[in-house]
Amino acid sequence: MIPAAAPVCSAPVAAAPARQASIDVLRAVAIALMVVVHFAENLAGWFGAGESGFAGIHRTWWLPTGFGAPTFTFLTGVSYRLWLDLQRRRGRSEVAIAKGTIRRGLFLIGLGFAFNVLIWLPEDVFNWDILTLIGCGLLTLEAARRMPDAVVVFAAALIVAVAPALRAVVGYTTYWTQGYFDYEFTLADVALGGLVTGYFPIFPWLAYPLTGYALAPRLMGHGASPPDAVGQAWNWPRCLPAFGLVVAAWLAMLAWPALPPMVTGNATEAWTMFPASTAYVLGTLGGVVLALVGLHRLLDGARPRYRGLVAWAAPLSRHSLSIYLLHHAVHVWPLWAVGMATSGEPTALWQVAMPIGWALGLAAAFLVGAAVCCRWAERRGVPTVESLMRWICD
Amino acid sequence: MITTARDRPPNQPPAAVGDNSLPVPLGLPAAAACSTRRLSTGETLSLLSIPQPESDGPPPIMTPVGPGRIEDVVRGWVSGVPSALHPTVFVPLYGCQIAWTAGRAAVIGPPERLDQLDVALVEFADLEAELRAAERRAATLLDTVEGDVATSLSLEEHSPARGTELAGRHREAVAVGRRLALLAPGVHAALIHPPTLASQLGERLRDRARLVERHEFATQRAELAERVAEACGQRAFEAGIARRQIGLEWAIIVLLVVQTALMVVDLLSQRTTP
Repeated sequence: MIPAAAPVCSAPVAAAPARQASIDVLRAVAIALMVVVHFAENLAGWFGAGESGFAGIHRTWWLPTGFGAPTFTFLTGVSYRLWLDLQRRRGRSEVAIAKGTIRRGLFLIGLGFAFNVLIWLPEDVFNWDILTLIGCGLLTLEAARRMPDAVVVFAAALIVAVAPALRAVVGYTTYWTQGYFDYEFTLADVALGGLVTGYFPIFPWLAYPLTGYALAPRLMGHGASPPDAVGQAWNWPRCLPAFGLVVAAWLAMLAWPALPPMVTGNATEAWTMFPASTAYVLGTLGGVVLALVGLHRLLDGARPRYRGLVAWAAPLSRHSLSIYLLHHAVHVWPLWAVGMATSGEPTALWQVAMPIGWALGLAAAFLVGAAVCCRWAERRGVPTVESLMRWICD
Repeated sequence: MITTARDRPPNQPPAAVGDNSLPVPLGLPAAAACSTRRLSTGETLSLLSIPQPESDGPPPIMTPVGPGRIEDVVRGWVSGVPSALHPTVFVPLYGCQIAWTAGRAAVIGPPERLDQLDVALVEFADLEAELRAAERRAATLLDTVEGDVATSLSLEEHSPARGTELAGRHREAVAVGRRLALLAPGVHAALIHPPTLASQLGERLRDRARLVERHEFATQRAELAERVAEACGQRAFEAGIARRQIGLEWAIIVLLVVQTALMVVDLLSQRTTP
């Protein structure tokens, strides 16, 4: 029950006259990773790299899985910045922008709770999944857009810095049982889950959308206009901070045993996704920034390149929220139903339903089907979750 | 650096340099000569000099009174410059005829007076060209005034490039004002007593070309642009300071929020019994 990746607020970018192919491709890669990882883990109990054991606390995460959620949440900030610039250029009032942002944030938070109830069953309604994080992220970005970018980066750094201390204060490990977030239905546990101990708590996960928002103009050029800044983005001075983050993550991993508990949050491993260790946050941030800059350089020129790749990636990106919801429904609901029918226990087949080969094959089939369905839905104008969000929020 | 007529001491030759011979238009006497003078603004002045013996009659007026006359040919040649911005000015003066427009000029007169008239014409053309350049720059500055004011009032849009642009505009406005101030003595040149042929030609050309009024209008434009640019620059500067203060305030707010979150987490962790 590990929601490893995030649907992104793709609607803002969809409103832009010229989409950034790099964002579409990166988001499509992230959602493909997420689908593969969820199918492999939830259906076959396969965690990659020959590791055994459960998915969760203090476990070294195999790298592709770990990059899904950071990529989505980071791109949420980037997409929001591009959308914001576009709205301002179009002369939309600040009040209208604020209303739209807050509505989207609340929509995603509400959708996140509904998703938890419908997919993970009612007892996990407050597990603080990725949808609620992105909703909170949008609400935070509504305030952050009034701040100078330097302050936003400062806030993100502060969030990352205090997260281990908060985990140490609350005793993070006591909220996790066998690799899953296990909380009581009390105000304190629910609030702490959202702040520190849940799957995607504000500390430190909010740093991703904030960083994406603050760095977007420097990475992508200003606004949602055609990428006139291509060529400027891939120069070494601009990439140095991203390399610095990766190096800092590497150094943190080397020095991990010697670091005090208030820094490590009592985590035994340096690179963990649950909780998101400081090394993990720094490393994934640096990796995502480098990937985005590289793709921006490669794909966003005035002359389109790799049109076939972009043509298939763009629908996946535009409908990433729908795909996120759908892929859970198609592989988790049958699991619950068959388990209930065969043994009376919904989770009887959890992670033991099939061999890994079958799970990966199903994931690939789902991705192909999703890509075809997305293109078909766009041509036919079939309503999706994204269009529902736009209809409600805009 | 180009030395202009306004920067040059009065006893030096005209600012124009170069004297390239050009083909003479058809229908003119063999003694006619056509040359090109480069003005201090970089423009060129094609100057047609036609020696003609002095007659006893009244000075002819260069008007199209009949086909084939020298005056008609000259008039057609001067007026025929494709980039002419001003109507052609004709000045009859003591048996001489002078025609001028931006880029071309012609003198018909006794050979012994042609040199003086050429010098006066080039001097005037240089002054007029500089004034015209200043007018263009002032007009360009004026076009950006409204946009600059709107931008400087919008505190949300912070752009270092925009600040640099505003500063550049202020410098340009000051430069145009300085140029116009340097041109003022030439435009408002006092009459020389006793008058000379060259001084009278200069005076009449300045009068016909409305240099005084044009200089006044350009000065007003430059002053307006300078005032606006200065105000916008000041506003942008103050906005920059305000933005830094706002950033500091936001940083303090962020610190307070994080501190509150720490306190809340600490408080909640004491109330839970996991």
